[in-house]
Amino acid sequence: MTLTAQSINLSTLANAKHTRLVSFENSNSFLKRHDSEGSLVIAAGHRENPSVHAHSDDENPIVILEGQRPRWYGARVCQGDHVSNSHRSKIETARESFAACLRPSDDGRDLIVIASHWDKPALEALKVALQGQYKVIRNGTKIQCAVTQVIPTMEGLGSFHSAKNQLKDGSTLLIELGYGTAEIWFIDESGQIVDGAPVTRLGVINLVKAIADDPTVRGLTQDNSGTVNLSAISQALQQDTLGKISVANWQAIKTKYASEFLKDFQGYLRTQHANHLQSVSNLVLTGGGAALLSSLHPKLSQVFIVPHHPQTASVRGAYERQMSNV
Amino acid sequence: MSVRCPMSKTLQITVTDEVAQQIKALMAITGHERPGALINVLVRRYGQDLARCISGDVLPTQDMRVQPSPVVSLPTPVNVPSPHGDVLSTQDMTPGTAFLAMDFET
Repeated sequence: MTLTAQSINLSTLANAKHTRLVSFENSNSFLKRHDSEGSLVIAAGHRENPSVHAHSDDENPIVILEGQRPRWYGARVCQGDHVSNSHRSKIETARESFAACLRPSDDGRDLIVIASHWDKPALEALKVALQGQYKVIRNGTKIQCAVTQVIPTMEGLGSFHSAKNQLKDGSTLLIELGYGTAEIWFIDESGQIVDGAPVTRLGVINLVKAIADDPTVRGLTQDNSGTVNLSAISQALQQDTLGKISVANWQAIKTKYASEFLKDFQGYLRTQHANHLQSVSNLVLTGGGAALLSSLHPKLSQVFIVPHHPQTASVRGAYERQMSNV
Repeated sequence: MSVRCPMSKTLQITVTDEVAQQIKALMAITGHERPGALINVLVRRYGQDLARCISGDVLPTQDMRVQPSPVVSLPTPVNVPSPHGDVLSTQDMTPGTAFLAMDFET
């Protein structure tokens, strides 16, 4: 009898799906997820009721959340008419964005989600928004799971953890250059944020808008109504060209406006944080903006520590930080 | 002459006229526009031990006293000669001040 009971218990355990830890960041430009299977990054825009020709994959998923209309997310849809997440609050979009990031292997599982936000008072609302049952059809696969616990964290602390092995003793100024905002955090040696704030003026969108106003770019990319697709420019920042602009011209345009952006960045730090800058031991530059600027101005790596794959450093680091506590 | 020391926001240094002349002479050599900026470089180069960095050849320590002050100021330019003849580079700066000194002209 004892042996039988043990066998049943072992069998039950073997078939049970364990609770999964997931790190999630509902960024303005990208939805980011990291877990034991790796990172998933999806461009944060969607179109409802895509045509039958819409080509979906893991980074461009078609998602039906609890009987709502199908939504097509990702970089492909952001090339054309789409609803951008950057015009909506992160709390409002948290649940639907997380649903877009679910994996088939989440089906039947309880999920513990580490979720980050730059706005400390919003962390509790983020927690409430994400918790609960999810019934999703994603790329034709039914996924049913539950977010049983949300661990809210400040955006940027994950990046700090990602860069930790490269830091010298002493305090750190961490700058997470996101699309809509940049977070500037002063972090003490114990890893505690002791000062800082999100700064919209330094979001990468300001660089994108400056490029959109460039006469060459405007001449070649605007439509009949005079509108320039900012999402297309944003994506092209990571590519060799934009539309009919030559590779050399596009590189020159990117470098020119990145230089202007960096001068404004210097000016902000000079006027707001000159005293801090004289005492911090480490400067960390991270986020999608870090990848872009350090590729256009490699000398930034002389003064900044740029974590590996800076665009996902925050979501990866938050996951690894939590796992290190287990 | 009162010199604001940006390296430490709690220090304000008051010096005699004789020492002020020496600081001005040193500023002419290093190209600093403000005495506080020069002191900042000296402190960064030699640590908080102001007495050591200004003793001997540059400034007599007995001619200065240190008073608390909440004053802060801006960082300094790169590559200026120290009073000992060597050249201060971005390696001598904190990463923050080195970033502010970077040139992004295209």
